[in-house]
Amino acid sequence: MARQGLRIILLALLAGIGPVLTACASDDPKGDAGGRIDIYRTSDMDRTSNRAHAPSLWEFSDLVAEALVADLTQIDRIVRKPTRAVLEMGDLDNRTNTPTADFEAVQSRIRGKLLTSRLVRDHFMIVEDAARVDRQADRVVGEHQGTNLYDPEDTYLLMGNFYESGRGNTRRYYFEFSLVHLASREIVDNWHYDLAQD
Amino acid sequence: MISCVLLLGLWGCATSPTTTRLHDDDLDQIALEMSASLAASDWLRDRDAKSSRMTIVVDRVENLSSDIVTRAEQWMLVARVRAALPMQTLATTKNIRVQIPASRWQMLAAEGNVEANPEASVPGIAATHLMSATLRSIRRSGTSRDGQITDLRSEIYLVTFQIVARPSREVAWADTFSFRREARGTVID
Repeated sequence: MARQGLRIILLALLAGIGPVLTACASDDPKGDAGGRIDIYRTSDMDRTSNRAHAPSLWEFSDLVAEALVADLTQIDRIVRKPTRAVLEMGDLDNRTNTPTADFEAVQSRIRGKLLTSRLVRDHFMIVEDAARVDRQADRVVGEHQGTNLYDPEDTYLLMGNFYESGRGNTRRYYFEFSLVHLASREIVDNWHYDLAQD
Repeated sequence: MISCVLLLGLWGCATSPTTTRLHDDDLDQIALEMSASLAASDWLRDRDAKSSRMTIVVDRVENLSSDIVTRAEQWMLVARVRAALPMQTLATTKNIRVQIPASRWQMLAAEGNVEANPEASVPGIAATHLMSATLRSIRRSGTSRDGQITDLRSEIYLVTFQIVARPSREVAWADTFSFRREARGTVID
């Protein structure tokens, strides 16, 4: 009797494990990753997507941030100014199949890198978008006193242009950020990045 | 016993992640990295007890990513960075105070927990600085098989924390943290 009971338990055990093991070992498609990967590594996802490769966008943001810090000392009108100039993030003109949100992330990253530079902060007061600060103040401060607007003569914008062309199987991209003097609309400096993808 | 075996088996299967969504440990790491960055920042180091009084109010994370981040998680992320600040030490050695958001006070007033008219202006000194964060993502997806079903996906997450002065809008402190996740498999998996 006891032996029969043990047999039933063993059979039930095997019956229980079987489907579980089958499910684990099945050849059916399954998500198998989800882990972190190197941002700078071009992956299958980049190659099969019809958008600009994500690692290229990261490299581009590195290039612009480093070049801006390096070029800053060469821009006399900013370096010789007795007070700090105002730097705002400007508009992005996106003429590609890559979402504008991706370029906004690039711009945000550039700004983040600039803010870590003492040199940049010594010469620029980097400011947040007025509408965003007003919106937040309404929500969490409980009073709306308005935010400062600055003299266009003292203000510079970091503006972006992103273009794409497709001839044959190759897609070509041209990305650039420009430092623009608001009062005169003059492009004070410019950094660009060319990219070709099959 | 059978239940235990089944549970163990299912748990074994479930440990393999199949999504690029944010994990709990991502949120933990973001909070840790940003807290450490803020504590070591020039902005905090340059202040002392004689610096002009600073009052900071915290806003939730603005989610511009493709992931679903609940309102609770949006508040939790900034709350954890704020909580890492030693309040009493900041008040005495840096002349920095941290306030609750006006919306919380208005909630108390509306519920009758404080003797105040909910329509009245919020008491206390208006915050001089706003602390907030933005979460963004760059998604790439494609197909590895017949070109019909999307089964490859990767996501770069970029989170930016910042403290902005009012009314100048100057970014007093900011830092970013980024990482990339990838997943393979169809949505049904």
